[in-house]
Amino acid sequence: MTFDEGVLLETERLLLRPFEEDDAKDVLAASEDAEIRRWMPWAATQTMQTAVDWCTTHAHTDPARAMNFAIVADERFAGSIGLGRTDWADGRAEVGYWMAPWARRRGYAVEATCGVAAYAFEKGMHRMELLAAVGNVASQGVAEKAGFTREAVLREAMLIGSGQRSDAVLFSLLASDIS
Amino acid sequence: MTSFGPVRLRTERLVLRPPEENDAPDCFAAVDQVVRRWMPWAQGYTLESARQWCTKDAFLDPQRQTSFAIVPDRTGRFGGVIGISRADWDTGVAETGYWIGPADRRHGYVTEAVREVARYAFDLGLHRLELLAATGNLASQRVAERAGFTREGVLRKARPTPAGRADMVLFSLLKGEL
Repeated sequence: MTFDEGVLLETERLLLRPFEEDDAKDVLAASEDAEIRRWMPWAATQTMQTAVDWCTTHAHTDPARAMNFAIVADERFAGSIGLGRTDWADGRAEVGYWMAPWARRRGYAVEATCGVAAYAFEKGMHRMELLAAVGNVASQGVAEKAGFTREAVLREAMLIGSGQRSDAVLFSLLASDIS
Repeated sequence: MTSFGPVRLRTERLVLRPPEENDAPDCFAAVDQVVRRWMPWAQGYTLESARQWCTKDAFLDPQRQTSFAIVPDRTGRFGGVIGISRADWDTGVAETGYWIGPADRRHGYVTEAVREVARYAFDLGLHRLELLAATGNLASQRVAERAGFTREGVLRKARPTPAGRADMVLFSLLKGEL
């Protein structure tokens, strides 16, 4: 079982498409944003070269294991959303995202999360998981607005931007929650 | 990236070692009704399934997982299995899981094995070891508690069991808590 290569997902206001080399400058710009640097361990060491590598190579990983989409709103790069930690036997995958500063507070992350979850359920997944650092209130708000249920706090489960470990809130959305 | 190698671990009453082809008959015999109740792979289990596991499947994907035969000194024979899986070397998170045959239950062997496997995992650089037990599998939850794991929550319909997808209790043990 596998996700598909080259998938385009459309939601009411967004296009989710594979990363392209041209996205690199926007990825680099986002990496310099304070909020991204606070939560994302990769942001501090991002360069134009690592951004290009991400857009052209690392974002296009084995579709049986993971998927990454560039989020496009109003024809502008708005952020990133992906599926990872995929386990087809369990029917489980994890969703993660970050948004460019201009694209926050518009419900785009919620809309993209719902779109990606619907796609994963269509591919046979039963359970989507979402981890947010306990201090990352914005990300937890996205999970809740997207209909996820808070299940547990996972101690020291996540690396955040400082390179330190953080407790993480585990949310899940079941296929049966939305059908 | 680190990888699990075939290693032999020793505890007070147990040897934990890689499975061998000769373990297959004991492995097959250990898969009783209790194991079949919880383990999705145990449905339709045969001697050939056991042989396949002891010689091949137990050694798959050593960057992410490893398995040990639990061998009590009392018998010197294969009694059950403990393993590490889903290792994520970036975040330092992995999962442990286990099962043991009827002849070796109620001795505290699994608890002893889990603590040694946790020590091994932390020595390799992992930071957080998770353990999932079906909400109905009280014996497995007791092992987690006795081994010093902390209960963190219930994950809804998180894993397949022969009776369908089960809610799972999530436990964890952190480096430094052993």
